Amino acid sequence: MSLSASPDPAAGLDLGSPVPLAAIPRSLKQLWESSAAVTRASAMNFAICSEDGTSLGPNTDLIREVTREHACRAILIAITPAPGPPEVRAWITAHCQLAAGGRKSVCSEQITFAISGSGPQLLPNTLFAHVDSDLPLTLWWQGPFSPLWERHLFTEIDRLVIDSSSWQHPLAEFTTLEQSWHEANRGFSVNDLSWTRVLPFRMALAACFDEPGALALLPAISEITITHGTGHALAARMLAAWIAEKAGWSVTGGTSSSGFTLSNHGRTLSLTFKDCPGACAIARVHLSAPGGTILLTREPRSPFIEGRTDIAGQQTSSLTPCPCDSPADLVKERLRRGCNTRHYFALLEIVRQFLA
Amino acid sequence: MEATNPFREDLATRTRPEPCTVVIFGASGDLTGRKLIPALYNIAADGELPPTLKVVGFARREKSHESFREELEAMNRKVSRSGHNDQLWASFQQNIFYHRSEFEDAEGYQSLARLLDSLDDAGAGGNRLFYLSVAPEYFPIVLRGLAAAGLNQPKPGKWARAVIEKPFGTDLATADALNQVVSETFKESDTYRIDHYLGKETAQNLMVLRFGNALFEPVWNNRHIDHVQITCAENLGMEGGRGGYYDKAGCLRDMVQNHLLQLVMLTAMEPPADLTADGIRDEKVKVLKSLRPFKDAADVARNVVRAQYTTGTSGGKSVPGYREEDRIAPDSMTEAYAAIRINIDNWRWEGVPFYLRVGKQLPKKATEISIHFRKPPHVLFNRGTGEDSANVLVVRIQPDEGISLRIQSKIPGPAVRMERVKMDFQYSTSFGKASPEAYERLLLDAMSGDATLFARRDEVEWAWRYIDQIEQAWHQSPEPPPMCSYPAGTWGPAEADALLAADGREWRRL
Repeated sequence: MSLSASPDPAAGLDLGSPVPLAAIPRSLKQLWESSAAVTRASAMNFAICSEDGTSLGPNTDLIREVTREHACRAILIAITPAPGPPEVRAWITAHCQLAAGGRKSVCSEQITFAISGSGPQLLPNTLFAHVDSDLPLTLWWQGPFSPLWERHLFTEIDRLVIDSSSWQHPLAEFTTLEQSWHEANRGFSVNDLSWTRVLPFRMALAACFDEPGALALLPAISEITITHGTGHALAARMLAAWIAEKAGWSVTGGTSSSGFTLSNHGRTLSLTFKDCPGACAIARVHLSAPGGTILLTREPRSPFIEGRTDIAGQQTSSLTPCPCDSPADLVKERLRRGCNTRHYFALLEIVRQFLA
Repeated sequence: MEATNPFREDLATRTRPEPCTVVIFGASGDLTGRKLIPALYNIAADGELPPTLKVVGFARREKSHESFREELEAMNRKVSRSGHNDQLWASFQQNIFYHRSEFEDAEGYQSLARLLDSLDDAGAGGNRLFYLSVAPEYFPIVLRGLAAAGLNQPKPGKWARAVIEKPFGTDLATADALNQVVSETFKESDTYRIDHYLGKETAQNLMVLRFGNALFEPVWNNRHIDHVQITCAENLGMEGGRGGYYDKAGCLRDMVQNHLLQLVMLTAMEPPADLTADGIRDEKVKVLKSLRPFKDAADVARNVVRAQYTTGTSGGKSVPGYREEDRIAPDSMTEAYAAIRINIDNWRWEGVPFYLRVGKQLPKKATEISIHFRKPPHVLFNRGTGEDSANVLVVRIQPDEGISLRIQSKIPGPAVRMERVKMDFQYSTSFGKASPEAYERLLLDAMSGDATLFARRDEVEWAWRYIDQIEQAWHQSPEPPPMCSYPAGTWGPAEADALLAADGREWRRL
């Protein structure tokens, strides 16, 4: 970690009213009392921690979007390590929208912290001093795990959001993640946005295999090709791991970093990953077998995945919604659903074989 | 055994609807365009609709598939909860078909069977859901038509189900006769009697509130609850030609027999042994069996108030009285308002009356259940003021869905004085996202084979058994209880206030 002077993370941003740290509760109270026409809404604490000095602007935009669907107390923390004693600056603001029926404004509050300098437990203390009590705490840890990711932090959270596609060294990060999870006595659920990108494709594939004809074809699948956008190789491998796990196939070897062989109860099938610049995170999934094919495609920015099955000459098509482009879409989708963390870790065992 | 889809294992948060064809009888009616098709479309928008699902509209008017689809599209654009996406509609509408036939025409059902077979060949899957969105007099005709064409018999390994809209009979005898026809054509487990109140989130949340929170169930009994009020108020009269149906039914049959008694059951039932459809419905039926019967017409008069509204004001406008409304007989003896004191004779509810009120042209539209707890012994605070200090838990079914709890709080200041304050939970502010329409949930359940939110035969019959006593006292006894009146736009007749006042209570002000 570099301790050289960093640019001001709040420069040029509208983060609301600056408030002294000790005055945050009182200022929030005044904020709500100042307008009788709005209703404060909150179903959880949603904190975002980032060591990227430019994160506050995009994260404020993201919170504005997320709170349309998930009322929360948002806590944004940007940490810019710097020499000298710690300094914490804070702002408060609210994001409002009309409630159902257009009757009145429903607002979520946002507290923003810019932390510079360093000090023991600066981050946990700043966060936990400002959470709304009794409501669950979701923490989005942006970027790779650093020394700031420590047990006083992760033992107190309910849900952890990460985006493993942003990691340069995913194998090492996954190991840190698993260790933290065990150390926290499995106290938090893991919500990986990379895994969320895969979800609509899982749903679309499941819909295709709802058809008895497609299901009958499953044991005969001989070839799988997954095409992904640049930077989303990990999501493609997660999808492949999930397909293999569900179909009962095991990884037997790799012909290259993007080509693998799987064993389907003794029968060999090939798996190929294709990187396609400019394509969606997952753009195309093609499963073929003698007698039929199953094809999922998503055009850039399309809100749907198109599923096509062609089995013994009979063709069907379907559309599966895919709200999976923007980080806000992914977070909203993730918060809507629970996450089976054990299952996620079990899949990582297979993903590791594709990354090794 | 049929192979299961392994890719569904960790995706399903609920039972997945099975591929099927939904046949809607009365497809040119309002319900199809306003509720059923938008519900199916929104299920598709949520990615929950089986891709091979087909919809066949069966009705008497001359239409092509295309014109039927165009009508439905125009309506969907107006009313769909999630908006209207052209790409999704294009995919969805290609599975919608129209079949013209009279309900009495046997050949119409034979040709329907051929159409359904051809859709099965095109991948529909062989399961059939027959949705009877028709006037009640056509229920037996349609059911018998289906049976004559063999459509009530599922194909091997498949299912055939019937969804029946209310009103399910007009009294016990007609409900029993209809049930007889239903049971001759479909098994009880394949019969889904819709009460759309049960599809509402707040109605479903009643069980979660009661049995998912340790706080409430220990005090949910006659030791702690003084009484329960259930209100279903409407601020409309007989606009839009609804008088024709309403004057034959009245609010007792139209609302109490189904919706309000369902709310009574959900409020009063014992915890079920499990969450299976029959596990829950068994407990609900026990409540109906425990309703104290009326001894005679005089007993009905003591416990039930009926009324019609007279000329009054609503929404700043003068409105006519019930008997002056469109399609209402000038000498009508149909009630537009009813208030009922219900006693439940079981261990939990002995001595706790349930007061129900339902009516047209009341000041606001609201449906809610309020649980009025016993007053604390006021030896410490506000002695002698006579103020109502009881805690009240309110479950708002519609609109403004939510739950509030009235508690006592100290007024800031040097004196120890209490004031009532409200702790409020609102769905709209806690869960941002709009709740699905009741029909979405109910159609999903019917396609998934989950009958929990549908009324079982014995539920319907026990409900009618209770309602028939009142109807008979009103319309067949030599000394019928009086028909009271109230000005439109007010909270009902004085006699309804007196019903509670006689017990030392009063209606909650909504």
